[in-house]
Amino acid sequence: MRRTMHLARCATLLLMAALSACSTVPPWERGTLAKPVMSVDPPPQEKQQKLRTYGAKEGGAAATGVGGGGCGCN
Amino acid sequence: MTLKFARAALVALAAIGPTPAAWSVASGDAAPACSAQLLDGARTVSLADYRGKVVYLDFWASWCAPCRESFPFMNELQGDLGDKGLQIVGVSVDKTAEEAHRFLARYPAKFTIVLDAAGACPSAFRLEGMPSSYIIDRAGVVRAVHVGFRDSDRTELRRKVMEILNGGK
Amino acid sequence: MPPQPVSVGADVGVISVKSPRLAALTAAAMALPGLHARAAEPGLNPFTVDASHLEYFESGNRMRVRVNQATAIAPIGDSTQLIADGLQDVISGASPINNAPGPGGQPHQVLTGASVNDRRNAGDIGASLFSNDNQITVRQGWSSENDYKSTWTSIEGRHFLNQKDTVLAAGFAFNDDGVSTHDAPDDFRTRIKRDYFIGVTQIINERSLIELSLEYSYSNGFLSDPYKLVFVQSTGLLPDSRPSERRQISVTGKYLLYVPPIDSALQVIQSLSTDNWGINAGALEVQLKKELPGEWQVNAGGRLYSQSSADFYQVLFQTPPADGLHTSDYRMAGFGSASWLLGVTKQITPNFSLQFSGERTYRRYALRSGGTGFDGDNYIWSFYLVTLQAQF
Repeated sequence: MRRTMHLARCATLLLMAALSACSTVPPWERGTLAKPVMSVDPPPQEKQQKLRTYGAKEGGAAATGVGGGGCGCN
Repeated sequence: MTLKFARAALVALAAIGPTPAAWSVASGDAAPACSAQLLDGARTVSLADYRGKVVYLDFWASWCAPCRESFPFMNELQGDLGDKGLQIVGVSVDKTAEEAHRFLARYPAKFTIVLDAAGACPSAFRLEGMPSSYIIDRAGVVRAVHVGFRDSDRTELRRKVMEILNGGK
Repeated sequence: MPPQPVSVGADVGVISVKSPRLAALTAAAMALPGLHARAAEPGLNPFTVDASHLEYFESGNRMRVRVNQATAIAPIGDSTQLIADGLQDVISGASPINNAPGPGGQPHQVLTGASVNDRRNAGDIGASLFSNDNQITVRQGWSSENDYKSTWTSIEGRHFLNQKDTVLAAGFAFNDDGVSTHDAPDDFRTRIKRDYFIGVTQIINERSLIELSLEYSYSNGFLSDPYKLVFVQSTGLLPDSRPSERRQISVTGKYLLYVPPIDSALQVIQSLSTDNWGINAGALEVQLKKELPGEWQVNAGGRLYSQSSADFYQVLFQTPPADGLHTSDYRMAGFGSASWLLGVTKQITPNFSLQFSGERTYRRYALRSGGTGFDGDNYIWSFYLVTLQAQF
């Protein structure tokens, strides 16, 4: 238990250090990031349908983010 | 033990927290030197060329959504106040002239457009967001800085431009 | 005292209607929303309507689902959106009930005989508020069908840092469900679920970004499937019986990289999950997304999934387990799947876009990461989704 806690702390601090190492991209250099292909999520309805399908057909946690309410699909 | 961790975490979090706006060009500063080539490639122009006029320097890009709103407004402004000494200069920070042209085909500009693909001018002005506009008086001093563009900004911007045109403080 | 600037840096979360996450990322690149009253072009906080139709079907005459859904997003001023969503799905076709030993000792699935025909209606309403550095969304939803009803509430918040290089997100959802059966539709057994998530999206450089999220969910109540049975050698058929508590935790990483030589974005999503039922799962999805001239966008990729079986899962049981927990549900088995996915989007006019996406998944016992199961559960599921979006 103590070992797990210690590992968790190290991981968190490491993550924060990594994030601070990323330098800010100047506003005028954000053209590429603004491209539609650079969005991580598909449109909401598609995302919802995909996650509901995975949730109904798989046993793993359908990493939803939030928004619940699924059907009782068998 | 937990307290030490918490303290370390807070310090780390502060490191990724909001960065202070150090050295950004503000009202009262002399406008940094800035020159770029006209989009149609004819020649290079610089800010100094417009000494004696009030310059509305607007940094835009084909990928900047609020720019679709600001262009019609700036066209209006140039049309109304050009004869009083207003010169709007739109600096595109697109990487290629083609991208800038694509935007202008949809949202035409009735003011001077230059292309600064290398980003020297936005760097010099230390832009904090896109779009950004700077109102520079006849003596080359920055008098107003505006980041972003909303419909509700129109009245205030117009008012400020007219104030500076009339030599006000 | 020098004259004050007209306005201070006002980077507000862009209201992009495609999704809150897209909004966060678009916000990372751009500045402000604005209200646009001109005719042709949608403004920065547009009124949006999305309508979609989904066809889902499984191999071997199994389940078929058709879903029709519509979502409307109405702006109020520059920094508020109201959301309303409604859907109806119709389920038909056969479904596995239990496994049974077959001739020669090979177990096989037993499917429902008659074609089950279920209609489900669901809807939700919500609101999003945006400010300089924050965004908050609340939603309330309902779902109802003959043998299942559900209400849910969710809240999600976002905080932007570092000129939107960093987005911190956190959310909570609460589900309250009632499950009954066709034979006794008013005899509901209840369950609740609480979902928590935190995430961070970080821009790495001008052409790549990463998103990490952690999710925990707690379910309590009647978690078994009332339509499923288990075959027990010694006593015959028993009802599906699962623990009354489930704790799941999952971690997801998403990475996006723009690749200039092919003018495409490479997207990699990896997720891992575990729970107290013994199901450990992992998924890896890779996609390539490319813009084509004429306002087309295509994306194609694949997904690999693998899970271990639940502790209380068996294909067939010899004797009833001492703790009274037993399931043979094919979704609780050890299995994996391989999928391909494809999507095409076309911006027809500045106000209308049409989107098609398809996915086909091969579920295979051979791809399991652990536990037990059998090939008799293998099948293929596919879906095709068409969405029309209008923005004004």
